[in-house]
Amino acid sequence: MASAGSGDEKAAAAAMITLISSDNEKFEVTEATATLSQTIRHMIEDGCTDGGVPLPNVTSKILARVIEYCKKHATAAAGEEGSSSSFSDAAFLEVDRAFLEELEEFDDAFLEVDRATLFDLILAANYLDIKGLLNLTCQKVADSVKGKTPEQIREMYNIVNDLTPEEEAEIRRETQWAFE
Amino acid sequence: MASSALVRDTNTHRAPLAVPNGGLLPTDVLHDILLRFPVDVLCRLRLVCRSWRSLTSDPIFAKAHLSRHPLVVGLGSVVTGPTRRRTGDIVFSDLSGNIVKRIYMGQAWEEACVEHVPFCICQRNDLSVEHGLLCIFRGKEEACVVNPATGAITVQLSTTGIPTKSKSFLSMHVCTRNGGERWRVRQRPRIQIAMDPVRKAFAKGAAYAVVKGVAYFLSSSRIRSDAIASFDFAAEKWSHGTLQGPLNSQLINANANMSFSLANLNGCLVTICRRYIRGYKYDDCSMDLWFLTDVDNGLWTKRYSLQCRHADGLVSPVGILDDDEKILLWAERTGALRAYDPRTSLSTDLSTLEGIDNVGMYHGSLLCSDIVD
Repeated sequence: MASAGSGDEKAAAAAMITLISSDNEKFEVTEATATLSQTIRHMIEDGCTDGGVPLPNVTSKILARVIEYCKKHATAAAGEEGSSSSFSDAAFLEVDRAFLEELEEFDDAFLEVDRATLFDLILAANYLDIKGLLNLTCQKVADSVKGKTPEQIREMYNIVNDLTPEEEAEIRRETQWAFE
Repeated sequence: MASSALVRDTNTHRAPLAVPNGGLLPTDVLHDILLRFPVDVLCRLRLVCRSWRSLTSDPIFAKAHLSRHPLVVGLGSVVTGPTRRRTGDIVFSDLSGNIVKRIYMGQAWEEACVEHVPFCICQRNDLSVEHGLLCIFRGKEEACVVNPATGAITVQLSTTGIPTKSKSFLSMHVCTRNGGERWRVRQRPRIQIAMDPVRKAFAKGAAYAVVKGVAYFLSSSRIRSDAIASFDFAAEKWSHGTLQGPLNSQLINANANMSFSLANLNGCLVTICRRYIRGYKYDDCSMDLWFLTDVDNGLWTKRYSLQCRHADGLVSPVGILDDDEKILLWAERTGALRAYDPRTSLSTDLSTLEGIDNVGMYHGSLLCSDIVD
C-alpha cells in the first residue's frame, strides 16, 4: 500500500483539477480523483479543464461529498492496481480484504444522509457519470422501497397517486399472481 | 441531464419521485432503480402511480429486466420415491432457485400429467406476434397455449378423426394466430421425426426446438443420422428437404456412443452432440454444441465443447447468459443449475431447482406480453 500511496502523490503533483460548484466554490482535486467521473474524464481528454471545471448543476455541499467519495475510491483503485502484480501473496490478499471491508464501511457511513441529500447525490452522480456512486445511491433508494406497501412508498417519496380505482383493480387483475 | 430535473421546491424538500420531466429523479435513474427488483415485486409496485406502472410495462424495460434477471421455466414436479411426478403447474424461477411465478393448470391437467409421461414444454416466444407465449403439449393428444404474463390458458384439442399417433402429433403443431386459434391438420413430414425423447434411445434430451418461427425435429429413422426436419409456422408447411446435421451420417454410424438433441440457445438452433466416453448411456460424456450459424446454407459451427459427469445424469444447456456469456446448464437428476465459463472450462453451481422438471430458459417477459427482439 505504501508504494501505491506514493504513486498517488506523484500523480497529484503532476495534475490537479479545479472544480467549481454552482455557488462558485473552488475545489482542488487530483486527476485520479476527478477522473472517476466519466464526464470530467472526457473534458480532460478534450483539454478543456484549464481555468477550472464549472459544475452549474452541483452545489458546494454536494460537491464536497462527491469529492469525498471519489478520493476514497480513487485510492482504492490505485491500491488494487498496486497489489494486482503480487496477488498470489497471502499478505497482500489480507491487506486487500481489510481494505475492501474498510471501503464498505465507508460506503455505509457515506449513505447516512437525509433523503433530499441522497437525491442530490444521485443527480450529481448521474450528471458527472460516476458509476460507482450512482449504483450505490440507487441501491439505497431501492433498499428503502423494499418491503413497503405502495401507500408507504408514496408517503416516503411524496408521490401523488394518480391511479383511478378502476386502474388499480385492473393492475391487480392483470397480475393477480403477484398479489397472492 | 435535463436541467429541469434540478428544479425543486426547496420549501418542502418533497417532490414527486417519479413524475417524468419536472420531477426530482430523471426517468433513466428511476429506470435503473426499478431494474433492481424481481418481477413479482415490480408488479406490485405498479400500484404506486401511473408512471411507475407505464415504466414497468414498457417492452424495452422488460427486455432490460430479463437480461438482468434471467428466468427459467419448467413443469412443476414432486419427487415420489425414486421417480419424479409432474404436477399440473408451470413454474418460473430465477437463477437462485426462487420461484417467481406459478401457473396452476387445473385439476384435469394434474391428473393427466400423472398418467402421461411425455408432457413436454415448448417455447414459442418468437413464433408470432404473441411473443412470450408458451405452448405446451400434453401427451400426444392435447396442447394448450399459455400467456405467462397474465396466466390466461387456452386449451386446444385436436385429435378428432385422426387415427394414428404420428398424425395427431402433426396436427398439434399448427396454430393459427387468429380465428379462434384452431389447430389444423397438415401433411406429414418427409422423414420420421422424433417427438418423444424418452422412447427414442438415439435422442437424449429434447428432440425438437423452436427457433424464429420454425420448429426443428430430429430424425428418428432407423438409419442413424442427425438430419433435421423443419416446420415453418407462418407458412404452415414442412420444408421440402431435410437439414443436414453438423456430422455426416457415416461418422455417426461408426460411432455407437453418440446421441443428439436440439436446443434454442439465445435465438440460434443448436445441435447438442454427446459422446459417451466408454459405453452408451451410463457414463461420463463430452458434449459439443454446434450452432447453425448460416441457416440458408446449413452451415454449423462448433462453438463449445464441455465435459459432463455421469453422476449428474443428463446435463442440458439451457441458455447463454447475457452479461458474461456463460452457458447455463441444468442437470436433470440433481436439479442443479450451473453457469459454465467456456474460457476457463469451470462451472459454478448457482442453485438447485426444487420441484421443477423440463427446465428451459424463458425468453419472454412476465412484465409484458409483447417484448421486443
